[in-house]
Amino acid sequence: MLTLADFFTWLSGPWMPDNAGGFADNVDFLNGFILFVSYFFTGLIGFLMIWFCIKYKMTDRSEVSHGAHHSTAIEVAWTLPIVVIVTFVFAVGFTGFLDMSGEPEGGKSNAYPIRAEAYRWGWNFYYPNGGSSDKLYIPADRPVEITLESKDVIHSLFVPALRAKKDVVPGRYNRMWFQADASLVTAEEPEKALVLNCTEYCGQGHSQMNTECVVVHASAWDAKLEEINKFNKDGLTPAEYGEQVWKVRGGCAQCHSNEGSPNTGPTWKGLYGSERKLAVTDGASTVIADDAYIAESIRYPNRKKAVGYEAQKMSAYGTSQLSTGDVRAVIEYMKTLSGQEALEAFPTDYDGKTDLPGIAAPVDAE
Amino acid sequence: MSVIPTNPSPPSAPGTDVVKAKKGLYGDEDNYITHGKGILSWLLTIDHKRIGLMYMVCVLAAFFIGGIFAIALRTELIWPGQTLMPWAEANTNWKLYNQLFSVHGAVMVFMFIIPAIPAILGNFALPIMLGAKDVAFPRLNLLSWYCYVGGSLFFLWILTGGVVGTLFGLENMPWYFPKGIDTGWTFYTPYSTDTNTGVILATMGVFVLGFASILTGVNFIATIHMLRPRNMGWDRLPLMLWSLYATSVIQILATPVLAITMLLLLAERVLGIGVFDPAKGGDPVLYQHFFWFYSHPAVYIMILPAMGVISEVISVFSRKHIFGYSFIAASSLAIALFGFIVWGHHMFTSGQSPLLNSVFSLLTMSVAVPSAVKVFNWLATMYNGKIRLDTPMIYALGFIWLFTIGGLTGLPLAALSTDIHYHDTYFVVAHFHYVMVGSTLFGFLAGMYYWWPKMTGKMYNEKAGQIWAWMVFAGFNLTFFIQFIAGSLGAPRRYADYDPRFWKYHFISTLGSYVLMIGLFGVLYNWVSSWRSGKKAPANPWGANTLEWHTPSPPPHANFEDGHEPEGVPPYDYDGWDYVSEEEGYVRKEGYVYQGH
Repeated sequence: MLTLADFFTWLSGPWMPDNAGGFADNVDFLNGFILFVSYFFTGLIGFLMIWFCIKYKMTDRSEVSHGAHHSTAIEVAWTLPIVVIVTFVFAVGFTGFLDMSGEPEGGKSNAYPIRAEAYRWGWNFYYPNGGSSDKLYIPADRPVEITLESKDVIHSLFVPALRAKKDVVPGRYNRMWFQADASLVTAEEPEKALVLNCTEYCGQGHSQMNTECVVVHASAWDAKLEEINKFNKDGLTPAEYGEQVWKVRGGCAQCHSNEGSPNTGPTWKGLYGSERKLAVTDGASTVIADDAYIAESIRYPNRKKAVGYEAQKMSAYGTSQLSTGDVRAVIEYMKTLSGQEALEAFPTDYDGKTDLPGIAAPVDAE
Repeated sequence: MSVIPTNPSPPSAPGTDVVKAKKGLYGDEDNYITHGKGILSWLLTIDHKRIGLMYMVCVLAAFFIGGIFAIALRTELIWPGQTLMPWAEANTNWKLYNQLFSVHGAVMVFMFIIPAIPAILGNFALPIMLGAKDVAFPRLNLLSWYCYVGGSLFFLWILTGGVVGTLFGLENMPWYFPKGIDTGWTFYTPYSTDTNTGVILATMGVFVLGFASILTGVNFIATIHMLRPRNMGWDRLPLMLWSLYATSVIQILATPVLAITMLLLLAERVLGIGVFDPAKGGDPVLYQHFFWFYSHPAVYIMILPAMGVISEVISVFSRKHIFGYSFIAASSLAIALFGFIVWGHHMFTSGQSPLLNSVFSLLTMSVAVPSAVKVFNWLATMYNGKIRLDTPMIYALGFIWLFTIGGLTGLPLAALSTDIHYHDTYFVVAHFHYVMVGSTLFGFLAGMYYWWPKMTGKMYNEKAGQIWAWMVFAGFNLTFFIQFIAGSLGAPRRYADYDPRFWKYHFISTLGSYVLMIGLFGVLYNWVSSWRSGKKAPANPWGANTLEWHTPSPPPHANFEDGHEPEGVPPYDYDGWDYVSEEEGYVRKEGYVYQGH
């Protein structure tokens, strides 16, 4: 049976993104109702304006029109429906919002906890088993509750298909929860990717701060977690893996080129092993860009800035964003950019959490 | 009428060809434009009409500059990928785009929309509508103009320097190319305390511009209170003045908060005091509260004067008394009041408490009531009128249409759950352009055409005026309506580059912006050619009855002819005027006595 609610949701249909669950039911219904009201009033007002202009067109410039120009009854009469409509709109929006900002469905214990970390310009998502990924993977059969943290400025996590959005504010731990429509995925096709955007302006790379929210079928979830948790799952060489970190995971490429042209940050071409002049404020001395200097510049980027980059501020990358293994891979990649010999392969069961044995300058010595 | 240039134009006039050219255009006539000669007679004038004209030149220049940035940023978005600087790296393009939209927003908001109607039309018309010789504090009025010009020049230097520097790839820009801003016009922390662009200097510019706004507001309130003529009680105050009064109240009460916010930002950046930056122990959401406590009322600073213009124009061009005078007047005050208590609806996704969100949502809904009351009263005024479809009326009807769409699309942004989806998408961009640009711009253009004969003493080309009006209307809707759809589908705003699936929307929007631009240049041409070679305007071309139409066009230096002591009249009683076709205007009936009042 077609209800009024279905009608309003249908009205919303063509303008809204695909409905992948989340809070789409409430939002689309309310949006449809508002559309209905809007169509009605825009049509009515437009029609009256055109009709009046034709019907009451001035023919003689001396004529003046007379008639009532005050009626409290009429004023009240057309104000009341407005009050009713906006009260209804408020009430529906309010209930939908209570749902969004309240406990996840089935209580807190039912929700799968994920920690999201936003930085300029990318995302990292951390799962209870210790794994992390730059895409948001969520199980299809239960709600997820996301704790939002920012490394630098305000960002905002938006999944249009779920009608879910929350700002990621530094210094606050905002929370959001949602549950995707379980029927999006099946055991045969266990993954469905949804668009995930940053919707709070955060500077130069704001428009590139997009990733995916991947809904994963229950049967494939454990394997997925396992996969997320694995270091260098594609078995790349350290330099190749480092290039991937540079381009994707770490987002280094936004500011550091690999072919010599200066950008927001210094280029990596020929950087490894070269002599760096430090800024006046950092002692104006020189250092050799060796493993230790590079690792320190990743972990504490504003400690020893090179001349020419005093005004730039790079976000610090802690172990939760780039593991010791990631930093090692970056160093190996930079070695290749300076024409130096890089490490050939990671040990087979290496988990990326500690530095490799036998390395002269360990990454996380402090 | 033939025009005999009496004497060669003096070498000096406030910096524009327009003003220079018209020197010879008034023959021997003595009016406020010909009353004093030489550049100093303008730069040191305390005549509110001249200050209005000087504001007009500057504000239109600001609109032109803001418009250039608008066209540039729409061009960057015409298709995915980099457009404006194809030779440079992608992230240089993003940097440029970020500066473009910041400069566009800041220039348009602080230098065009806020001063447009009050400072040009209000300055010109307000004292004459009151039958007064000038505003209450004429020198303060001139100071306001200097604050505006000084602040604007400073602001523009900071802002455009950054864009030019980025465009030409100047590394470590020299001091005369300041770094501009890339924070958006909202200066959200902690980004604005972190970026290395010229936030401090830009906020100082905003600070000075705020003083221009406050001084105008103080002046208007004092003038309306103190300088009303005999027989003009509050119930005979034209609705334009009611809305300027409401606007002035907001300007005085809200603008200082912006100044405070900017000072706190300075304190944080220069002195390192933690107010907003969490790294220093502050709270970024506090900044948003401060900012929107000013900037939401500021939206009503932008729209209220336009509503005042529309109330005048709709009544005059329907040849009928305005319907629901007291309700329209009260709704202006109600909007001014509600404007102060709804700012939190900008922060529904910020993580502020759900209770706060709910209260702000409910309060925001209340704005719908006075807005709807105005629209319905305007329609009721048109009902059974004698509608004269001249250019000001076309803009007024365009205003009603755009304001209806802008207002109704405010509903899903005020409602909590739908706003979560729409927040910071193109839907918001489209919504506020419909309200702030569509409505305010159309109100401004309606008012400019309506008072043009009075301000310049020249009639404009009616046919051309109408054609350009339709073009502006079409261009505006083409540019912004499509953005509602893109926003609904989830296109985030402030993206320098976007998902290719949105390219159609951006493409159409960009084409629309070109149409809008051509239309607006047409309007400018229409005005300039009217001033240079338009027919002499009659004292009252529209048959209106507010006091500024009781004096010649353009008015004499003292606003009214010697010996004429204006008295308050019922502003919407049109029976006292006869149309005289030789004059192409209206002439007062001898011995007409106002009824009823």
